[in-house]
This record gives sequence, C-alpha cells and structure tokens, in this order.
Amino acid sequence: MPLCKIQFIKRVIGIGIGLYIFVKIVCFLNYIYVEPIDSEWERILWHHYYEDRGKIDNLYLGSSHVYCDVNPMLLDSLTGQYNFNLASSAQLMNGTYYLLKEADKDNQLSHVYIELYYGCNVKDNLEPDKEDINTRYDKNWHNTDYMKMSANKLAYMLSIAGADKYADICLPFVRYRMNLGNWDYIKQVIEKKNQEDYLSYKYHYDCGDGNGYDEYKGQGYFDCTRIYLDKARLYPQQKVLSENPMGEKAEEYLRIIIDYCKEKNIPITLFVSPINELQLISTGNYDYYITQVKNIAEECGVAFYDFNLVKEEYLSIQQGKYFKDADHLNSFGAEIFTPFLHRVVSGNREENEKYFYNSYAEKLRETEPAIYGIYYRYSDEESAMTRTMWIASNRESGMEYKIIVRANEGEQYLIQDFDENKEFTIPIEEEGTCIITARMKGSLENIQIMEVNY
Amino acid sequence: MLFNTPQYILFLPVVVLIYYCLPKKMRCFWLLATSYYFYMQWNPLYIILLFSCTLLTYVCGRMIENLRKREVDTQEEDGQKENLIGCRKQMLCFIICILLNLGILFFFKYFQFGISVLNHILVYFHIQEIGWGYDILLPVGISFYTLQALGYLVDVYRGDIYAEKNFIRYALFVSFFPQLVAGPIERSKNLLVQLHSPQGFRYENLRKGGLFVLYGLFLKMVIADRAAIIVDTVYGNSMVYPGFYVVIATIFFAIQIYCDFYGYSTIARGSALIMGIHLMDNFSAPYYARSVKDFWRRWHISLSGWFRDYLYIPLGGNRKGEFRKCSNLLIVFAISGLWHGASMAFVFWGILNGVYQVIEELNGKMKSEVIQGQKRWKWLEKLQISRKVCFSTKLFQTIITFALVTFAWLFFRAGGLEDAKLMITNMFRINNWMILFDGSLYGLGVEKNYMNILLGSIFVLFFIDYYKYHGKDVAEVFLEQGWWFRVICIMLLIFTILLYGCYGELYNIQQFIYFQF
Repeated sequence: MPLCKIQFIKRVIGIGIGLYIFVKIVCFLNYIYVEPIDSEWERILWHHYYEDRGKIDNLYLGSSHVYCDVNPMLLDSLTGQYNFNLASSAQLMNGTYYLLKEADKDNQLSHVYIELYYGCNVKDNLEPDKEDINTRYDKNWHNTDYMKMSANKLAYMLSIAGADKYADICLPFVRYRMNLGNWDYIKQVIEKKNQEDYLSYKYHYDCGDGNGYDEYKGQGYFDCTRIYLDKARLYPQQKVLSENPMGEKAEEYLRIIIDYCKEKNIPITLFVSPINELQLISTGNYDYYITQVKNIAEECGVAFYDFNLVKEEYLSIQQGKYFKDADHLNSFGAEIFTPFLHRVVSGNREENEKYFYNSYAEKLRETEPAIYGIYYRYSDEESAMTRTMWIASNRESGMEYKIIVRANEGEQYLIQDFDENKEFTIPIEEEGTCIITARMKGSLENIQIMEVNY
Repeated sequence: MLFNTPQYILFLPVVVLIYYCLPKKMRCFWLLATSYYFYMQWNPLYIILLFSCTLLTYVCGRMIENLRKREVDTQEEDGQKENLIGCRKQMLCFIICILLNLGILFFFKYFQFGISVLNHILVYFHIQEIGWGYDILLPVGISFYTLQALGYLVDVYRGDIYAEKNFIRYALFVSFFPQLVAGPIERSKNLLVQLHSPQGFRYENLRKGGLFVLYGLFLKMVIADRAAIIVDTVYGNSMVYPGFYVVIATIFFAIQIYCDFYGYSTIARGSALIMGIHLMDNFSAPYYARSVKDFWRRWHISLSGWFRDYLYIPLGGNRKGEFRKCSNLLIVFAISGLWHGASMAFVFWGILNGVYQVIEELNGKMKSEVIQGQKRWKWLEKLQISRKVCFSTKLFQTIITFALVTFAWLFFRAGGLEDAKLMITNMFRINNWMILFDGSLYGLGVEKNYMNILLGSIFVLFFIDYYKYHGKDVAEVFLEQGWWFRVICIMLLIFTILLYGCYGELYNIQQFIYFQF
C-alpha cells in the first residue's frame, strides 16, 4: 500500500477516535451534570414512545393538559385503535410540529389531535421583547435531549433558538455548568440516576398530604388522583389576553402543521381541554383566544373544539373533584372527559355545535353566579410592598364580596365589607387565609363562602 | 459575526470547504465575497467605506506606478526636467490618497473627539461652543484596514513592491476576513504575495490552524471574558472597591486585554492557516519582556512594526541625535495612543509608554557610558556593581516592566482621564492587602471554583508563553508529541471552553476589545 494512503487511513482513524472520545466525554458529563428532575417526564415519555412506535394509530399532541386530561387506554377501548399522548410540558407549537413529523415517520397515523392550551401559544406579557415562540427553548430541548438522532431531530434543534444557543441545545451538560466543581450536586445527581424508578423508567410520586398520588401509566398518560381543594385556589396569572393573543410564530407553525396533515392525508382535529374557571377568568378575556383559533381553523377547514365552552348538561366537569390544580384534570376528571372527547371528535361537526356555547362570555352569563378563587399577577417592580389580588367570579357586576383576612402571624381583619369591588391588596410578605363571602347585590343571602390560602 | 460565536464556528468550515473545492483562480473571488459578507454582518452600510478605501488605494497605487514607468521612459528621452514633474505628480497622487483615507478615518473616529477638544478650548476663552447633535458610529475595523491599505500605498510609492494589477486580489488583501476587523495589520509583501499563489489543501495546515483556533477560543472565552467579570465589577463600582481591589482588577485587566487580543489574533492566524495563508504572529510573550521597549517589540507586533516603518523611521528614527530620537518616540506613541481611541486617556496612555521608553533610552545610554568607562561615571565603579545579568535580575526587570505596563493599562481601561485619576486615588485610599487572603476576591463575580480554573488557565498561558519567549514554535512542539498526549490536551481545551467559557444561556457574548479601535 502506498505511504500516502496509509497516512490517510491513519488520519481518518485518528479523527474517528477523537470524535468517539469526545462523544464519550459528553455522555459522561451529561450523566454527572444533567439534573434528572427537570425533564423527568420527557425522558419517560420518549422511552415509552420508542417502545410503542410502529403501532400508534391516533396521536395526541400538546402540553401537559393532554397527558393529564386524555386517557389513551380508555380511548383504546372506545376506538379499538392504539392511542398515544406525545405530549410534553408546555409543548410549544414548533415542538408539536417536529413531534408530529417524528411520529408520522415511525407510524401509520389515522388521526392527529392537537391540543392548543393558550398558555403555550400566546405572547408573553412579562417579556414583551421576547414574545417569539423560540424564546422558551427550554420547553423544546427537554424533547430533543431524548429523541433519537435523525434529520428531523436536527431540524427541530435548529428551530429551537438562534445559533448562540446551539451549545445549550446540543450539549445538555452545558446548561448545568454553573454547578462546575459542586461535588454535592454531582453526588445528588448520580444518586438520583441510580434509583430503581429512574433506571426502570417508572414514575410514582405520593403527594404526601393524603391527597392522592401521581403515576405514569403508559401510552403517555399521567395518572393523578390529587383533588383541587378550595384552599389552594390562588392562581398566579402572568398573561392578560388581548386581541389576537396567539404569537406569530405559534400561528405560523399551527398552519404548517395543518398543511402537513393535509398533505399526508392525516385527519386533524384541534381542541382545548378543560381548564379551571379560575384560570380562564384570570386571563381577562379568554374569548380573544378562542376567536383567533376558530378563525384559523375555519380558514383551514379543520375542526376545533374548546371544551371550556361545553354546556354543563353535557359535561359537568367544572368541579374541584375533577381537577388536580387550576390547569389540569385529575384521573377522575380524565375518566369523564375522555369519553366525551371521543364522542365529540368522532361525531358530526354540525351536530356537535349543540354541546358548546358560542363564547366564553356567554357561558359565564348562563352559569349560576359563583366565585372560583383569587388570582394575582407578578409585579416587575422589585420594591413593591403589596400584592394586588382579584376575586375570580363569573359576573362583571351584580355581585358583592366581603373579604376577611386571617394572617398566619397577626389577627384577623376585614378588608372590605360587602361591595362590588373585586380588587384588594395584601402585604407582599404576609401569609394566611382569605375568606371571601359572596352574595347578589341587594340580597342578604350568601351564595358562597370560600377560604383561600395565600 | 464574532469569532467566539457559533455563527463563526459554522461559517469557517463552510468557507474552507468551498474554498478548497473551487479552482485556484476562483478562490480569490470566493474569499472576497465571504469577507464582504463577514464584514456586512455588523452593518451592511460599512461596506461602502471598506470598498472606497480599497478602490482609492488601488487606483492611486496603479497611478503612481504608471507615472513611475512613464518617468523611467521619459528619463531616457527628455532628461531631468520631465523626471522632476513625474516625481511631483507621484507625490501629489500619494499625498491626496493618504489625506483622503486619513480624512475618512478622522471623520468617523476623531471628528466628535475633535469637536469636544475644540469646545474645551472655546469655553476656556469664553467663546460659544460649536453645537454637534449627531452620533457618528465608528465602523468596525476602520483603523486596521486603513493602515493596511496605506502601508501598501507607501510600499508602492517607495518602489518596494509593484502595484497590484488584479483588483479582486487587492480587495481581498484589504478585506481578508480573519484579519479584517482587528488585524494583524498585514504587509503587502507577506499577504498579497500569498494571495497570488493559493496553496492546495494540506492536512498539517488544517491541524495547526485548528489548534490555533481552539487555543484562541480558550484565551478569549476562558481567560479574557472571565477576567472581564472581575475587572468590570471593580471598575464599574470604584468607590465600593478601593485599594488592593483596584490593583488586582488592573492586573486582571492586563491579562484580559492580552488574552482578548491575542485570542483574536490566534483565531485569525488559525483561520487563515487552514486556508493555507500564513499571517504574522502579533504577539511574542509580551509579559516576559524585560523592558518597555522589549514589550513593544512583542505586543501588537504588526502595529508596532507599521508605526516603526511608516512613521518613526520617516520622522528620522534614531539617526538624528538623542533629542530627536526621544521626541520621535513620544510622537509615535502619542499617535499610537490616539489610534487606539479618540480620547485623552488613550493619548496619555500612549505618551506614558513613550515616556517609559525615553527613560529607558537615557538609562541605556548611561549604562553604555559606564561600560565604556567614561570619566563622569568613574565613581560608580567604586560601588562594584555587577554587570552580569543573573536570573534574579531578569525576574526583577520582568516584574518591573509588567508593573509599568499594567499601570499604563489603567488609563486604557478607565476610559477617561478623570476616571483614571479617580481609580489611582482609590488605589491609594485604603491599605486592604488582606483581601488577597481572606476570600474577598471571590466576591467580585467569580466564585472560588471558577477563580481556581481562571488562575490555572493563566498559569497555562504563561507556561506556553515561556516556551514562546525562548523562541520555540509551541504549536510545532505540541504536534510532535505522542497522540495520547495531544488527545488529552485537545479534549481538555475543548471541555474547558465548553464547561467554563463565557458563552450561551448564562453569559452575554463579549465583543473583542480591539474591535472598537
């Protein structure tokens, strides 16, 4: 063999060995630095997805609302097909697109369901200069960390953020390098990664206060038996929905997803799963969001169902016992919601209209007067001494509220006697219980008393 | 597009790959296009200035050469009178081009500074100030490419080189992207000649060039940007951090500016070398210098060389007596200071370095007189001072030089004379030397672990510089080592940058300091 050829082979082997060592060191650093809790769900999800790939018929994509609210095992028994929730925490629309492509590559999909939780798609009110969907790249890299290498994964990674974040996206340990030399942290990470549940891709968490447990049940379903208690009804709302609240990028990707499904002849349905009224009211005007999505759906000729607009007589789900928090249903809620979801999506679009109100405002008007809790917004003023709170009720006017505060340290005091005003302030450091009594204006009869811990 | 960004890490391989795929004749076009693209990443409009400078010097260079040729032809036919006219035309052309280029540089870099100086003078004489409400943005790298183009023109005028006929090649010489925005300020004799005959792909160039790029990134991202955190903390809160904090921050600034600029130059060299183009080394272990004069022979070599050849020597250099030599030194360093930035602090920094050298010059003269045994120094012989230069003397000289240079850097970093004065006052306000030992330094934005790695990295830098100081080609020595040693070192470099470098989600990517000049 000529000398130059030997030299060439030696160089290629050398480069190969160098790359191999590089990859091994990266794996080692990921092992010792990447905190398993941060993307625990996605790790388990992708493991099970790759175990199930090839047999998925119906695919549910979206945020945590999908993996909490939609029970695929129940759907299997209703449809006779294999259903899978490829849903990740706060999944953004660009992520949904690449996850759809990943699933389409591996499976013969019969139907795709896209969940459109407003929180993932609206512009961020706190950081108006960062309203681009790509700014929440952490929600995407939890997926790319566990996806198997493919051209689709590479395209997904490139779409997450600009070039300045490539290192963070491609090399997970880079995100945790602030713990460099923190041996306690490294020890903890290694210990967690050697636990039985971690190694066997299981998840079980006992809530500890006798209020249920969380468990991964398979097919991308998160079983939670926690119940949303009245005392926990304090909601920090960061977003105020204004006209066309959906971000430009989110809308662009939604249209791309619809076009992709049409091109591949995969039926697609858009939906929003039930959210607690407390959260919906705290958005300011939820109808702005519904209208925007409805318009897109109509324009593209696809079905869209917002299950927050369902009439009480068809789905009576707005009760604490069916929610685990202000966002998600618990397993009891999922058991009621999943069959109804199936009934709607497998039914006729025109006939389905009877189940829904036309708008959220209409739904509130038609519902009995009620209060759902308290919400507040984060203040960007660091020096703020008080926290402004609002009572979430389904009436703009006509109701009166009495607010009493029982601070943990200090005495009980009255903030306001019966009055239409819903807004009040509490010292920022103070903790305690807020007792709200509601009645109709001009009536002496209380319609509701709610205690909320703050 | 900064060298320490993923954009550049992606840009370079693409440029190199296509460069080697193209036929040799096309390579200049490709490099020119990519260089202009690279430059336009800052502001597309700046390209007009770059192109103007290129066109102007190219046309003038060609005109000077044509006039010279005609002069040679007419010399044989018509005699001395025509010769004189030809010479005058050449000079006129040369001077107009120099003035135009310097005029552009002056307008963008010094106009506002000039107005503010003038206003100070007017205020002093109770005359109304000149109003100027516009901000002139300084185009990146204008000082560098203007000097490079002017250097070429002087060489053509002197007849040291022939004017370049190929405009594309010349435009590439002025705008070659690795050295476009912060040097090294290349000489036409070196770079232009290489552009005439592009090399084919060589694995050795790739290996060595890649190593340079990696080492440059290490210097910039691991040392310079980390040291910058300490420097910015102290210089940004001078009243909170007096005494030894200022001393420590200024020492770290000396390290920062060195690693920042050396890092840039090393990446530039490496990038060019991958394409088979050898750029000059801009630094030669400057902090090992034993005198300020020696320091300036080792620091920003391309600029020092430019000023030496195109300013100091034409001013008379050291040929016109001691007084002229010293005044020439001061002039050159004052202009060098002004070249760095339109501020009195930079001018003062330059003059201070000049003064150091004048003192050294006088001291050197005295020493040589002592050695020659001149009468007036006879009394020194009684002291029996040893003339042998031992290690401790060398060490002492190096430390003193470092201290003097670092003190001068204080003016450079402070940004203004008033700020520099404040920092010096703060430095002596309180004697808190114990902060060196009680862990207070970890409160300057760099925690213990990170500080240890920073100090370790600085040690590596000085270790490598030690070899360089002794004239060794460290890259060659490294590449001759066993493969396992090379793999360990390269992996260490890569992962130190990845784990410890200032980039990505946690840090703002820092621009190179010399980009502002």
